[in-house]
Amino acid sequence: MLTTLRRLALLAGFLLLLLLPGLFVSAHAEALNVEIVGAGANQIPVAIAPLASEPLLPESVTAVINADLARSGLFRLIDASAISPRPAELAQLNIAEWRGQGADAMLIGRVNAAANGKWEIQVRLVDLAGNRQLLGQSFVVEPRQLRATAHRIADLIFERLTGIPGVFGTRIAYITRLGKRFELMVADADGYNPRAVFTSTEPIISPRWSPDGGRIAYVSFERKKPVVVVQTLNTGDRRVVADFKGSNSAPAWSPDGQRLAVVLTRDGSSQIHLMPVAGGEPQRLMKTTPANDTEPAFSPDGRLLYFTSDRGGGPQIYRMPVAGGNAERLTFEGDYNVSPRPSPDGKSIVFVQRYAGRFRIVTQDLGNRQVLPVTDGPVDESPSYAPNGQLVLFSRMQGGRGELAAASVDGRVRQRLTLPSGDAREPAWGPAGQ
Amino acid sequence: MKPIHANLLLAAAVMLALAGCASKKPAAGDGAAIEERGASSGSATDGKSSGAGKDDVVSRSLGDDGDGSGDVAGAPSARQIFFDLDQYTVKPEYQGVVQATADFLKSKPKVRVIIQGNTDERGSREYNLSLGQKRAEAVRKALGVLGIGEDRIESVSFGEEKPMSECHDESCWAKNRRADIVYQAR
Repeated sequence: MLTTLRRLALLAGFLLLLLLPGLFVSAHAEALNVEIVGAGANQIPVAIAPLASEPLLPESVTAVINADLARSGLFRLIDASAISPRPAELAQLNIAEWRGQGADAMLIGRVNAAANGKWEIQVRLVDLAGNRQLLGQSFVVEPRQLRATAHRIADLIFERLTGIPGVFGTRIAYITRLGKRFELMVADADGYNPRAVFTSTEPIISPRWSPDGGRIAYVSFERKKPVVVVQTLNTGDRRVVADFKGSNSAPAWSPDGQRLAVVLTRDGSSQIHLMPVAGGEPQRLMKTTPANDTEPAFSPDGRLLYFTSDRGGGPQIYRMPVAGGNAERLTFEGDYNVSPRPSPDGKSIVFVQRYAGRFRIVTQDLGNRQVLPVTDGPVDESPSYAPNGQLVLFSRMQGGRGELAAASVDGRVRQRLTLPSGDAREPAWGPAGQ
Repeated sequence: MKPIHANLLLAAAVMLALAGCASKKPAAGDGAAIEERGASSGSATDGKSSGAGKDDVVSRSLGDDGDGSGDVAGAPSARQIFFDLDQYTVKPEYQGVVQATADFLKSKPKVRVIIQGNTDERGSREYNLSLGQKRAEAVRKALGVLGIGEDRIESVSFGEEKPMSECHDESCWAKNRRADIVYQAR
């Protein structure tokens, strides 16, 4: 068994792959400050050697890989910046020297100029204890793709050493508010490339990524009432898909990207409806209940809907088959449980629980029904899982302002991200493989 | 390193270009194999299903500065109904506001009203939207009892999004647990 993998087993809880060295609020705005609480006690020691001929590149690939891995909290980066000559093949690597430096694994490689102004990036991940190559890949990319390629390589390293897919190459969406200006933001998971994709003088809430990452559904108050909008990111095209009498809110995508669950009040109370994303007549999910049902979320297999309902008095979390049937109550602890989101493997949900007057993020195992805290509040909201299920992104109130934060699912490692002004809220983690 | 705006499309494009490779197994074992990975310029820019291949376009809503109130001459000035914590029934002290609203609507058949329900800031935004709707519905039903038809009333919710007063204690919260009556000339 690999040393690295063995060590990894000790770390099972310490997954903090994200993120956000400086989450810029808009193209011109100030960076968020990042504060990391907790860290893996047993980090995997890894050395990232600068690639042979890397100085030819307009920007360093290994610097981005280093930063991604370091931020994850899972790795201890052994400085290999001065290595000379730079090894590109296993045979050129002095394994004993780097084992002596304490590294378990090492990335080496080279850069070659390719045709048409492209670059070939060759990387090899070496298991120093086993004296063998764990990973060998070549990417032929345009100069503008270098940063994303670096995230891709960091994801491969992460997966190879931990057995869990990385999320360095994903994106997040969130809402910022500064005075009367609301913005729907999209940023890379490392906080770079933040972009306002919709700006409004009216509130925006509940952004939800389409399963392919190409569209975002959200609730906008631009018509003096909440309506559901679907926006295509690469064209900016916006379509109001639900503007029925009353309020329209809480969009959720079916996993096949064909349908939306939305909450409409045209019958009086808040009711979950299903409708084609392309538009069409919404079908009410439950005919009989006069209670308020909201915050629908599809299970990953598309068969179930998780939702919040006050049918039992206070808000609790339920689920029911999308095809119809009985609703099953899932939460019994406390009198306020809201905002359920299923994990990518469908085995757990994350939600907000009011506990001793504090709003905290908790998970519930859908098998044994055990509830475990991820955070301790006091005002934490809007949890969503990373695509690999190892982290939860959420918002919290601090000094009267909203900020974003991420925590490992076991709550042991946390990052908080503070804006110099204004506030950030309603985060949603985008899908993998965008 | 300075974030570069244009990187988004490039980063997204290469993710798209590479996404198809994600499920492939990397070269394994002791060999020094290198897998060839092409990121063609075509797949880097067509952006289709991922929608991330091109620059994201910013949309902008200019909104509507008026809130619609005060547009109808002679409409009653009392237009707010406040609610107790976790309560969604119109208290007797506001029956006069409801009655005046109904009387005015009866005298002006072309006027309609929007009832906007609101909550304080505590808890889930979406759940609060449903609670604001309950408050707006309570007012709509009270008007219905006085003979105002559903075709003249729309009850909507702003949830916690439009606080009258912004601070983080009960003095504000009490002001934000309310329904506003907004008159509209047809």
